[in-house]
Amino acid sequence: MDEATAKAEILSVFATYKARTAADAPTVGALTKGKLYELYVLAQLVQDLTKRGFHLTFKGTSLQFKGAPGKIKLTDPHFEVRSPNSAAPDLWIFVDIEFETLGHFHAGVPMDDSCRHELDIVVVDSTPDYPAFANIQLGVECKAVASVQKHLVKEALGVRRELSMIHAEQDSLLTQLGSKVRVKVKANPPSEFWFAHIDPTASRYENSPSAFGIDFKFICP
Amino acid sequence: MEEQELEGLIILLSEQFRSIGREELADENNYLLRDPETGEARVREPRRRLVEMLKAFERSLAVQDHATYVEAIQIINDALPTGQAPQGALVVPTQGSRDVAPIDLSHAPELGDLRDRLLVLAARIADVGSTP
Repeated sequence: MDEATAKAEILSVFATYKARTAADAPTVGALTKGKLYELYVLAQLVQDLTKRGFHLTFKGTSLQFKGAPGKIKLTDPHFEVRSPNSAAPDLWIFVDIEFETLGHFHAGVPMDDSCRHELDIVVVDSTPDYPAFANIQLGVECKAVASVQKHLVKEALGVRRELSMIHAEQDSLLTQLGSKVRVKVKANPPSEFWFAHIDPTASRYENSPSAFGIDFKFICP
Repeated sequence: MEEQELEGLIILLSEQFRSIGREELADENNYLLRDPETGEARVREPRRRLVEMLKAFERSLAVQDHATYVEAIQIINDALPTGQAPQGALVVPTQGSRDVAPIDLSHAPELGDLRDRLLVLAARIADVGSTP
């Protein structure tokens, strides 16, 4: 391939992309903010939980992602989850939720903007307005960036710190509820924590965070 | 292609990224190579950097592609009991936002052909580099 051919192809691809996206800026804005990726990761989570023996039902008409994170509302569309060992739904899946941090509970400090952090997807064991760190059974951070940079890893480490203390490896909360697949995490409470990304080279950052129970998941459409 | 021509293509691609508001894809810090022994980072050589930039753009299109929406909804449909799956997926605006209408993710554009073309282009450029 020569330079002129490559140049022509690059310009043609971008011209076509611009033509297809020009008419719908709001949708493109949501897509570039990673909302479609959240949906894709949510689908993988639903599939994963089903394979692990959990039974899911959807409550609502359409899934709803939020422009900004907020509290749990049972009137919002969500999934109800029944654990393998349970006769009734005992878990719930919501998206774009803020949880109350471990630091807030641990230190008993007055509430300020540091006392809640966002997770893109949560599996929780109860449905208060803002779940506490201890209510999170599984949390997911979705990073729809082509190249994961270290600041995103630091951010995930901070969220993990506000969910759990480092601890000797133990069965995860979902494993304790009867998951067919046994997952162990080095955290207490032993919530599972996914760092979902589309960068095939992000695994270069995963070894140290794994010591804190952060599970790097390469989930790329 | 010579190194100077490859650098020219990198500049062109970077300009195109900026023209669609995705300047972060042009950031050369995204395409560093770290020496496993010394830990020192350096920018990749032009051919490899150009190939990685094209692949990065393909991944960024993957998370905007209508096919990804269809696949996600299908996965959820397959995992849930018949008739209990969501009918679609929306993004609801923040209260007080200038955006008033929910955004329907099913309106994501079809980008599969562009993704294919980017991967073919990346492979051909990489292949030229491996030719003796």
